[in-house]
Amino acid sequence: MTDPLARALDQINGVVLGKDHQIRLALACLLARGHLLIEDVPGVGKTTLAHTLAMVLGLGFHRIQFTSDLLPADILGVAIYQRDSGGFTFHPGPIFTQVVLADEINRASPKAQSALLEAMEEGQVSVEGETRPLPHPFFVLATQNPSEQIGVFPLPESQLDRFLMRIHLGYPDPQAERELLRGTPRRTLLTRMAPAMTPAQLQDLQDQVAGVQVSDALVAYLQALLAVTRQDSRFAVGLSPRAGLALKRAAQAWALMQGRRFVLPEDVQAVLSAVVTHRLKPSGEGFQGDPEWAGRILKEVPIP
Amino acid sequence: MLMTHFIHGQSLLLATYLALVAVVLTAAILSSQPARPIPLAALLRQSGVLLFQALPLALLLFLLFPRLPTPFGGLGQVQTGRTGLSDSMQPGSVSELIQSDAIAFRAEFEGAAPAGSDLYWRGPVLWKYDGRVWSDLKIAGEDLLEIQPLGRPLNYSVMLEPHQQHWLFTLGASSQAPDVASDLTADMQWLARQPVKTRLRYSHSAHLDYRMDPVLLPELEALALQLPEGQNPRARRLAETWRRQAGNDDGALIRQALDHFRTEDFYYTLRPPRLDGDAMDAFLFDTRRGFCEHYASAFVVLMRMAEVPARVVTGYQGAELNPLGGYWLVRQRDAHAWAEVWLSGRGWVRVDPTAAVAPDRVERGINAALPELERPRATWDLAWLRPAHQAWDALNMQWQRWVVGYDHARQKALMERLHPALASLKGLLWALVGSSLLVLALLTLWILGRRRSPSPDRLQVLYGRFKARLNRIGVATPDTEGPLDLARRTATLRPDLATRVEAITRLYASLRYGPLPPDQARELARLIHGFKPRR
Repeated sequence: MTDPLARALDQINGVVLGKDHQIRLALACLLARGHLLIEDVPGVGKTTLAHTLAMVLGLGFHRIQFTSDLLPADILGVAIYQRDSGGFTFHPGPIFTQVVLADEINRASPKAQSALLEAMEEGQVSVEGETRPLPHPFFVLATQNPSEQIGVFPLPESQLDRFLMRIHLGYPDPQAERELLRGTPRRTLLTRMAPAMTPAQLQDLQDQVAGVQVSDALVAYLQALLAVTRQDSRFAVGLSPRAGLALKRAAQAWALMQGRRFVLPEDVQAVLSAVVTHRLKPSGEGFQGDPEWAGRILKEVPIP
Repeated sequence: MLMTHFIHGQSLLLATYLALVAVVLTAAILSSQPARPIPLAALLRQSGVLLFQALPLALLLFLLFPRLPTPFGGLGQVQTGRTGLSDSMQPGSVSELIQSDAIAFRAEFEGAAPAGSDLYWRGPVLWKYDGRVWSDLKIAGEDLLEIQPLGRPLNYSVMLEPHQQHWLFTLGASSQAPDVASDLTADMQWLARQPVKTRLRYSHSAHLDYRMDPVLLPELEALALQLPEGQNPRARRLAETWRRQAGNDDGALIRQALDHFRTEDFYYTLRPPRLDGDAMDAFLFDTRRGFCEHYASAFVVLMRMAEVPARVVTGYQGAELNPLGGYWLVRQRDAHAWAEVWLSGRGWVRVDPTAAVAPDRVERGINAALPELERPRATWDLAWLRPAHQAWDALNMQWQRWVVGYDHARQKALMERLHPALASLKGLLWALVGSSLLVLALLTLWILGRRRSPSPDRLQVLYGRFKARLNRIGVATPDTEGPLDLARRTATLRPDLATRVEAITRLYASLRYGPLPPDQARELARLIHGFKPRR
């Protein structure tokens, strides 16, 4: 494995216990220049994971707590009149950083949500008629409470599509929980943490992802996976071409993290659930985003 | 240079040998090209692939390259020193042939083949007898012969082995010529205008039921009664006795003669004793052991003594079916001599005195008729070799027929069937150039296409074989599982196989999904070949 990556994984695993797969997915998502949505009940370590990621990668970090009265300006920033100079000065909002933790994104109004999501898509924000680029790399890590809780605005499908991956953290297993209860508080660990790589190294890794080879045979497999969601009557809407591209990019990042320069079907299978379940809309029974779907698809599509 | 060999022979064996030589030569040329040495097996395979790629073009040239209407003067397959029938017969000349299992010719019938006892292949007809030797007069004059066909004609074709002579062996009788340049003699011999020096294929239509020469010309009658003066007094007395008993009834006379051979103490043998002095007297009254030529000549001599016009006919009798090729094989050992007598009102009638002595000769072939010890032994007589020999002969027959036999006439016929424009030389040349370019273009596309993707099918086949072997030892291999996952799972099920399975899956994964050069596929093939796990 590429060395800084191994170190980063090690460090994150030292803080967020027993979540190796999710941590790898989060890191892969970041390497693929995608944004990550973490969905789970409060208190399972979503914020800790986001914070740790930012620390380990040596990136600037801001947290935005989404509430129902949050306004777009609270995210993007405002221009304020300066009496001394007689002009307006722009005060950047919390989004002008490298890692943004958008906590409980589904609590905010759709207006605030879309302000964030536009920034995610464009990599820049327009405030007061002026376009301002966001820093580089730019990585949004949003958390969301499961939609069955009260007082939330679920993200519409079009906006869910902006997230490369969606993962669930889930409760820690007994051993990890025991260690957690016994060990040093996580906050203390975070303050001691040193970055595992420089921003230049991260940039380099991100560039390498695009160079990971995707063979004809693998493209055929990707197509077969996409096709089954489009033809199957179990899904109201199949996967979009954008979803296909996302799947490819995520698999490339995953392969790179395995220290490989080409994508295997296993890489696609590893990331499939995280990449597609929030984009699939089942018809009839089954609620949106049931992670079971990915497993079922994998069992049905032979590797060409 | 290789091709010059075909001037001397065009057999399947030679062609196979030359193809192998071509492969080796191409390999030699290849080995002189690159800087780094290549192993011999790889060289040979590469050159084989090269020649295989040239095959479509070669096939096209074979079909379309204009054939000359006549072969180069005398070039072709000239074989000498072969045994065969000749235009004279003396005691022992046919029994020599019986020892040879060389092929005389092959025959194919349109529709059902006639019974074995009808298969009298006519060759030289012998008139002149000097007391020892019978000889052929080759009486020219087709117009002297009159044939009235009875019954339906039988169509057949013959592939005649070269015998350096002119005879075309035919069945029954017919005034219709075989489809090669040939002449008919007054005694129903078909003579090719050129000696048969290469394999010759001809078709013929004949009648097994016929009437030949209902009226016998006086010149021919004189020839058919000719005998050397003052020889064989005992035989003459016997014939005169029969004549007196039969009166004018020639039929009764013949029956009496055949009865004589049948009831008296005559033996059919390949090793007759020497006949001294008056040969016929010695044979008829002293030795009484002989072969078909003895019986035929004794019978004809007796008939002539009894004033019945008669002549000796030589040729082949019987045939062996090759069930694989669906054709009949006639060998030198099927050589036979029989008699023809002229009866007024019926013309020339075939009488086979050998059949009276040894009916098995005609019914079941030469081997059945001979005593056990005298049967000719040849390698192919071994029972287990027989099918292989038949298959080889059938293959050879097809080779002769379709490859060597593809001459000007056949090419023209085929091209006319395909398209009328191809019948002309110009059309043929255009078609040749056009289709050659097309084939070359297709080949180029194919090769370029192969270069782009290193035979994914072959990889799939190899990997499928690997999975099948795992299946056999109880490791399930669902096709939704990637190679590395499979290796991981197999390692937990069968730790003893872990390293080998991992090596194979790793190599396969890099070949199929990664940038490994395709020549590593050989290594994968080697690993999978060597992977034979046991339960």
